[in-house]
Amino acid sequence: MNVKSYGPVSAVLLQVWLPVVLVLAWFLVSAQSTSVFWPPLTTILAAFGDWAASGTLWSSLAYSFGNYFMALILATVVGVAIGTAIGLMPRVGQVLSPYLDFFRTLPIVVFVPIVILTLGVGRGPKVFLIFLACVWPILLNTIEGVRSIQASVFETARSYRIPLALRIRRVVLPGAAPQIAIGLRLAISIGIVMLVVSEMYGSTEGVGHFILQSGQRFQLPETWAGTLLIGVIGWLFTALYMFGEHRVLAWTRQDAETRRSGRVSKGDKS
Amino acid sequence: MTWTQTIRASAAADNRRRAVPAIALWRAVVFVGGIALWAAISASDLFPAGLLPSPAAVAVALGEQIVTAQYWEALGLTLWGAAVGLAAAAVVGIAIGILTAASSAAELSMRFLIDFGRAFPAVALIAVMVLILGRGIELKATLVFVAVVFLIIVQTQQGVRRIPPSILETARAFRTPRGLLVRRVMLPSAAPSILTGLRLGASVAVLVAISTEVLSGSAGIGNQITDAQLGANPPVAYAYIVTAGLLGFGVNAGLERLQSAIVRWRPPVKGED
Repeated sequence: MNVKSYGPVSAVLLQVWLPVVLVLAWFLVSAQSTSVFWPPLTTILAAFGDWAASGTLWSSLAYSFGNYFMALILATVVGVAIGTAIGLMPRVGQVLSPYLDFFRTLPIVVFVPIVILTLGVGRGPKVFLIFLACVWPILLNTIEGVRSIQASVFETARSYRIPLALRIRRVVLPGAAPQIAIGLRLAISIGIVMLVVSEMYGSTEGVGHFILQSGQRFQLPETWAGTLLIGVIGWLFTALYMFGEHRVLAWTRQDAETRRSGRVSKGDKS
Repeated sequence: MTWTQTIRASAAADNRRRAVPAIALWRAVVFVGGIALWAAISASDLFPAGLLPSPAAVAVALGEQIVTAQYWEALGLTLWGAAVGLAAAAVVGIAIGILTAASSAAELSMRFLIDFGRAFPAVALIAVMVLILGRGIELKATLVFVAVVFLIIVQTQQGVRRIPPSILETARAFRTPRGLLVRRVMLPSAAPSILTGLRLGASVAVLVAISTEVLSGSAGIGNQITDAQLGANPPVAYAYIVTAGLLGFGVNAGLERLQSAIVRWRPPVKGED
């Protein structure tokens, strides 16, 4: 499509104006708001300030995201390991594919009541639930990534008799990396959803607990503050991840050849 | 074809011929094995009682539930909430998607909002929305809408972007009016991508509807699971979990079929990706 293109300055301005206008509009419109449900933006920010000043914000964040990262790391290790194994054994993959599809579409939230009501509101059950939700996208994308490596690559590796461990480390995993990265990106956002759900279902600590508790006490500004915080964190994680992925996986993109040769001659400056 | 490719292709074809019945057999073996493992784990004391009831108990519970009106009502409520939210998201999402794909000023202006919206965990809004909207269909539909609309915007955008310039230039040369251009050129050309968005969106919609029910106690499958588990009746809870799984699987598989049936008229455009 021939769409107009803009210079760098106007492009930035175009990207910025609408969010700024919307936040300002929210600020101005809500300033006179007397509705309990839609408190003024300043009240929400003040509630957030109180939350930060009281110190519970930091302990909540540490608790919630401690669980989150623990589960995410666990899911990555398990997902990539099992995914690589299944990906390297096409027959096994073919046999398992309908079952993997079933679990992929099974909404993991259905296990929230079961796990939390039976195992309690502690840390373990939450890590388990987040893990359960994150492991599928990583597992399935790893399988797909390994499958997408061209047969000739495997044949070359085999003809050089590269041992399995080395082959996995140097051939399979780098080859599957772009697809694994997609799985990880999905897992990052699914994990945050699961984090919120598992804490809002029942917990004694954490950001989700704060939101739930404020809601039950009918403290709308606090509830809004917690909700917006989760939203911003969700966006921030995805944005940071995309930025990191873009740099780390620079070599897999189309210009990989020029980049790599450039790196050899001029040193690493990717 | 080089000789290595010939060998590879014939070997693969050979393998396939031999493998087809074997794979069906193995799938059955895995299924039976999986159920047996489930039964063994639930019979052992590995997990606390209530976490994993035996498969037989779940099958019996499912059989009992499936004949009750309550079961179908819960299923219907979940689907209805998901469908209303998805329909609203489709209308708004396709409109915004076309608008932002056709004008780069609109795209740049909306970029941050779309990025933010896509990364926003919609279920976090439950606590606020349950106070504002109550526990009815409005709550479910609103959350589904928020969770799905950005996905559909992005898919529509990509679909419209991939229309070959020659088609749009032809349409422009004939001075096709804008409304007609959108209806007869852009929408059909972007249809495969939009349908993919709707299919992915449908899975998310079911997921969000069930999450909402679990968290807010809004009536539907999710609420049934919570109620059964609270009433110390794990087999019934698992019966609804199996239902949720089949629902997700069925919606996805059904829409995949529908999608390929709908876009069959359209030859694949070269260099579409």
